[in-house]
Amino acid sequence: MKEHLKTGLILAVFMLASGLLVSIVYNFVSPYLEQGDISNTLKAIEEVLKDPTSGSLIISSIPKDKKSLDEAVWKDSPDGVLYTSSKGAKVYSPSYMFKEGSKEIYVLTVSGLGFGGEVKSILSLVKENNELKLNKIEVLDYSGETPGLGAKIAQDSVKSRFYNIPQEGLISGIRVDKDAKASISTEEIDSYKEQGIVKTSDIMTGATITARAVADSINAAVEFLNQEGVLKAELKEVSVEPSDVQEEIDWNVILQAIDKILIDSETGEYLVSDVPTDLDSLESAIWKENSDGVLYTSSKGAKVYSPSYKFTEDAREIYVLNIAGKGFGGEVKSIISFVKENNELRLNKIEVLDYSGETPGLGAKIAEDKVKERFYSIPYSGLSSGVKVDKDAGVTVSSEEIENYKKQGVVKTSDVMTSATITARSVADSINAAVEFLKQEGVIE
Amino acid sequence: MADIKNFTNGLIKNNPTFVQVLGICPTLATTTSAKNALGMGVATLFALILSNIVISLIRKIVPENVRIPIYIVVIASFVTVIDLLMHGFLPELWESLGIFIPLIVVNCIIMGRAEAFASKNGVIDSIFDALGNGLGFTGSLFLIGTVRELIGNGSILGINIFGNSFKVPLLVLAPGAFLTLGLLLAMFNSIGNSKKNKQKKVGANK
Repeated sequence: MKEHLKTGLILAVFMLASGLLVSIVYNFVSPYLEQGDISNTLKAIEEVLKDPTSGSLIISSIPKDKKSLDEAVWKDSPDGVLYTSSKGAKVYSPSYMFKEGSKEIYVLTVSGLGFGGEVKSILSLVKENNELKLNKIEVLDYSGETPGLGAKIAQDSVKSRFYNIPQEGLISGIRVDKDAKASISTEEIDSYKEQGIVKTSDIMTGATITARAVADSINAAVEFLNQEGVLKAELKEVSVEPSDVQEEIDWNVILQAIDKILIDSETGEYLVSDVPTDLDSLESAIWKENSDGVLYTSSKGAKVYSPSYKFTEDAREIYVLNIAGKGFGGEVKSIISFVKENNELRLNKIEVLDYSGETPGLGAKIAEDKVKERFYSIPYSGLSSGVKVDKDAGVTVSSEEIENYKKQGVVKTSDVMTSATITARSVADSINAAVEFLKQEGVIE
Repeated sequence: MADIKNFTNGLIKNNPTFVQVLGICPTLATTTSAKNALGMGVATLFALILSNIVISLIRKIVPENVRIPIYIVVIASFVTVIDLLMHGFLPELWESLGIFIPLIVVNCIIMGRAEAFASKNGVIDSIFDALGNGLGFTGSLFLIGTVRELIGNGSILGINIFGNSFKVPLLVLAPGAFLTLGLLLAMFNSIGNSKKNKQKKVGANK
């Protein structure tokens, strides 16, 4: 006992001494650490205080240290955030204002929600003759963006697309060309800035989310200046329609899934002779679509998403639907094919596209072939009585009886997906929603 | 009595990198340029000297059964101090070495010297031992970093040597680290072997 106490005491003394040493050094170093952060901010501020075309400074005395920077503070708030926009973009405290002749220059630290977190920037807005324009923007933190895609945002060629946006553009709200659905030639880049449209699609392919984050953060800055009375204008609300969000889906994944589900689950041959290989050929197969993105919602909350597709091959009709059911941790999204032949409808195949909310090792097994296959080839009798999993149907299905039970709409999953009924049920629900939708549209009676 | 052999032993004969092949993780990761390698080496050298001194001083009061946690606390404290100082005064180097500075805590060279030498020897000998091993490690890293930077980027310590005419960027990337370390290891081993053979022959002639 005594020995233990002694050992513990010695350990404690060493811990204390170690803590003391580290805290002394920290207290000694912390002003230098702060200095380092400040010098990064100062560098960025100096950069945005340059004229983007000539590269010369737009004010005569730029802040060189913390003291002169503090003198330029315009608005600050103790909680660190000055303004949050409806899109979650933020204006951080403090903001700075510099005066040069008749010019007022506002320097704001802003952020927008990117792909993997906040994209933080510092930007300068110049007010002269009652006209406000966005001068320059420096992207400070984009650590959550994908290298090679979104992380390109910090390159000069991309950043410069956001420079020099006039007041008309700022009032209309900044959008990237993809969201504005505008195709802009290289000569028109500057004239489109008057409408608030920034072309990024050519230099930042496949990374709309990051560019949109920067656009959102600029809008937040403009909204903040409007709120503070610097700009007195009716700002327009920028809205991105759901169909635009859909564009973010990787179409290659969809095309590959469609390719798979267009194979006959019974014969292993393609159901159609012209399998769509690109977006254009897929678009020509669109059957039903609507602008709000949802075609049908079932009583259980399962959904059929827009668009749906229809392929016709001789006397055979193939329907391909985007469906989703409520799983354990969000929607389980799938794409499914139905075949209508001789007035009989059957479920052909299903591919699970998004099951990110399901538990690895349990519900996430839904995407495994041996689980998916259990939902293949359900005949009309099974579809019309409503698809359910064996656990919900309260039946024990032996492996020989799997195909037989499909005629009653019962799908055995309990053996391949133990204790993950919710995920399997969500797929069954989404299949039922698809059948209800097909009924509503008169495909089946 | 202090012995200079404790110094040369770690520096050459038992060089941590090329003979004992210890601390390979930071060796591979931070030798992308001569400057980074030197920074890492010197940071490790300081951590090694300071921890060796303290561990040698406290060796008689540390209870045998809790010596490892105590050594780790001592090493971790000094590494945290070095990390803070580098962050404050050498921010660029600190940023480029990143996680590898805090990871010095688990560098097996430091723990190894604490356990094998400092906990059994006096302060002066422990300093010699730390200097030898630390400089041996620093020198090895600097050599690897120099080779990688020279062939991979055509420069040494940022000074352009070959210009843009000769660059093999592979050497700066991860495979280059393995290739360089492997070839240098082979070179030093063959030098060591031929020396041993000569000594044997000399011994046999006598």
